[in-house]
Amino acid sequence: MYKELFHLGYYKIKTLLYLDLEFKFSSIIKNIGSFFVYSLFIIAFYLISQTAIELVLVKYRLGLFLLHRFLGIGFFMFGLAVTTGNLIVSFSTLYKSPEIDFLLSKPIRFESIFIIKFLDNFFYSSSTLFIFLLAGLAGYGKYFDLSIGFYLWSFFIVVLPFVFTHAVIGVLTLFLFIKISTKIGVKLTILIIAFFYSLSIIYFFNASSPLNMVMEVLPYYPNIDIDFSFLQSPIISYLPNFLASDSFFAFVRGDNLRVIINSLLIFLLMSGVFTLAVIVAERYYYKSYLDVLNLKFSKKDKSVDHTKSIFDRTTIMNPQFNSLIKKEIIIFTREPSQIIHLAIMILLILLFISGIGSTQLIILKAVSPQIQTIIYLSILVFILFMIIALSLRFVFPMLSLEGETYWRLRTSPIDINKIVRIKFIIILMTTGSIGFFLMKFSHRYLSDILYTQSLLLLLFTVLTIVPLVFSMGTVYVNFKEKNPIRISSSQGATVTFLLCLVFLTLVIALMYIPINDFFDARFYGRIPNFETRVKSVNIILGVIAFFTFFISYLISIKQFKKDI
Amino acid sequence: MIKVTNLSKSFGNFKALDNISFQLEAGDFAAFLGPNGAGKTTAIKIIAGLLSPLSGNVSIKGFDIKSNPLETKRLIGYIPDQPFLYDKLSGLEFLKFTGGLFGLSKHDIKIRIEETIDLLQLGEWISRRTETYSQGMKQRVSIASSLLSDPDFILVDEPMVGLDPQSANIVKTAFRKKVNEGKTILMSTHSLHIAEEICSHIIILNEGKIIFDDLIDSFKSFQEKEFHNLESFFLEITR
Repeated sequence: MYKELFHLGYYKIKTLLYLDLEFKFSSIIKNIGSFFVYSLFIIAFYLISQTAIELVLVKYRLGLFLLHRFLGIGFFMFGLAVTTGNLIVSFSTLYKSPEIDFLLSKPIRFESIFIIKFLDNFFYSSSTLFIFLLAGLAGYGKYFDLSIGFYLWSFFIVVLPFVFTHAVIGVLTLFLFIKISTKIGVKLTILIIAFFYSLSIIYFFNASSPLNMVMEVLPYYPNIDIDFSFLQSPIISYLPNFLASDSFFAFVRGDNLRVIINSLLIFLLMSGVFTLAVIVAERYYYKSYLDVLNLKFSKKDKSVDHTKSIFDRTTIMNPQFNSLIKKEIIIFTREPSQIIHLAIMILLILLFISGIGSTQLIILKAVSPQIQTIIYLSILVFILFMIIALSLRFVFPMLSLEGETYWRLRTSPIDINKIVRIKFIIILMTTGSIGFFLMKFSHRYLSDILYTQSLLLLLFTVLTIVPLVFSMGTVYVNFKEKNPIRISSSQGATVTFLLCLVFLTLVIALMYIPINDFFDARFYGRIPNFETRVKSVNIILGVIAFFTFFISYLISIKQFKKDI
Repeated sequence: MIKVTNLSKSFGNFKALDNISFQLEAGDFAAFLGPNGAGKTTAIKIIAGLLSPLSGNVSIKGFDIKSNPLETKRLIGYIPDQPFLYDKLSGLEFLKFTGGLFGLSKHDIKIRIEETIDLLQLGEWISRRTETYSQGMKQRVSIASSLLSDPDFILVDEPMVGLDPQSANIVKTAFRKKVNEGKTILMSTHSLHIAEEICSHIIILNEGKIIFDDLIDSFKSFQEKEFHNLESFFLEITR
């Protein structure tokens, strides 16, 4: 097996090492732009991590224990994202790639194919992530003035195994998903897994609520730098996210024994889950490959009942518009990865909505206007971030997903501008409606003035982000990639994401003072001068939205008309 | 009917088409021959509107492809070399989608679909998603979608790739029927015997230039003078 692995790995690395240099003006500009955006964000991550630590330790004086518990919660969410992302991406790399068909037709052990493809997938999809994690670690290490040993240890012994463990959990869940799907069907399996997924999130946040932690620790003030893990359930402390954050905590306190124990536990966990995955792959990978084929070609799933097809429904739309809209709807709803991801996002939105009522009450009862401002801005960040996430996931791949069938549209007597306009209408209305829904729920108990302003912010964000993401998707178009998840996790998508974060940071920076003044005035019984204060913010964001919208529209049209 | 004038196209330093011109009339069935990389697909893609030319123009029934792209596309049925379809649509849905793109009414779409299903003998598979189709079935659906609007000018890029003898025969019969109805076909192919069997006109491209443009009989008479067969004649002139 090792000989096989070495052979496969050698050629895999060899193909990765070949540089694909293209000396075209547009690609040089694209690469310089990417390099610039990446560098900017690496620096930003480095600085933000230091500022965040300073905020917790110096401004709010919450102590080292709470800082690392917050870090643990961050690790938990990060781990969930890695697991979910890996589950979805692994499906395409382990079951839908032509390379798998090639390898499976050769006399190679199934577990060797699994290991190579898993590692390929892991490093391909996580390389950008590691760059930013390193920037964050550098900020952390610099703040606490830690030695070079910390960087090596934290990255190779804690962070890398942590991320790897969650990626393996993603693949194991995928195996389980396929196994159950063959017994009870795909839809029911999705429901069951989504149920347990949300149950685990709810349990986690109930057991380690950040608010409860603060309430339990603050009575010990000023002795808040000691280890308060006895206040929590021991099960929670042994979750990999808290093992990781606690080992950071131990390193800062100089508790080397704890560092070694926690690192060892993380390493053992990684080895355990990976060994389990290899054993499962040895026995089940090929069978699961056949199961996936059976699910794909099952007659029930593939025959279309044309009496119910929306193409036959009478409509008042003109035939071209009608065809384009219906094609978009059908293709979207019949692609499992689109539906699964949308279901996960809807689940997140529902979880947000279920908790947002009490968060608004916390704002109203908060003991200081600063805390009110921070909680309110966090709500805004979540909603705007959701717009970004939805756009990147569903809007960015739109032109690429036309795929090699784009010849059909391009050779039809249809105005390309019309196609772009139709796509713009669909994406603006969908993301706008979701944003409106979220704003409505998150302002039920808050002032009407804030609600009106939040709707304006939503409008500017949708008009900026959605066209920007769409046009970037056309610039980084890849007609050969059929998997929307791989498209939306490509280099172009990462650059787009970073550009969106610039906008998000700008919105929050511009809104901080007016919002803080608003809560300050309310808290001390003054009449807030909110409308006047946000006027200039609205003008700036309005101008940005206007220009981004039109430039993105023009870029999209140009890209849609490119030679294919 | 279709007039191609001084068409050129480059990809970087590579000149794919070098000032080519030709003209076809209604009822012509032209074979576009030439070795790999001669520029056949490039020329076809420019006429179909998928590539923009460096210089020159294409006019169909008096409509120029640059100034009247929509009108010219309405007159063209383009059949690509690879039959890419939307995996998640059934063949029938793909045909309805195409009918809508050409602005056909629901009634016309229904009638034309019935005609093309019959013409290309698509059968029951038409109701299944195209991701389950064989290469040949995909090719026939792709051809059906291009004939759906009853175009005056049919552009075909290597139509027989991946087709079994039965399917190839169905496609050839369909093309002959269209030519008999007065439609014009320009078909890129590597198969000399298919060109000889069904085409009335031969255009040979080599290194981006037209080196032969005449009727099939003229092509054959050249061959008969000095060569044993079409293949050796073709190999000689494209050497």
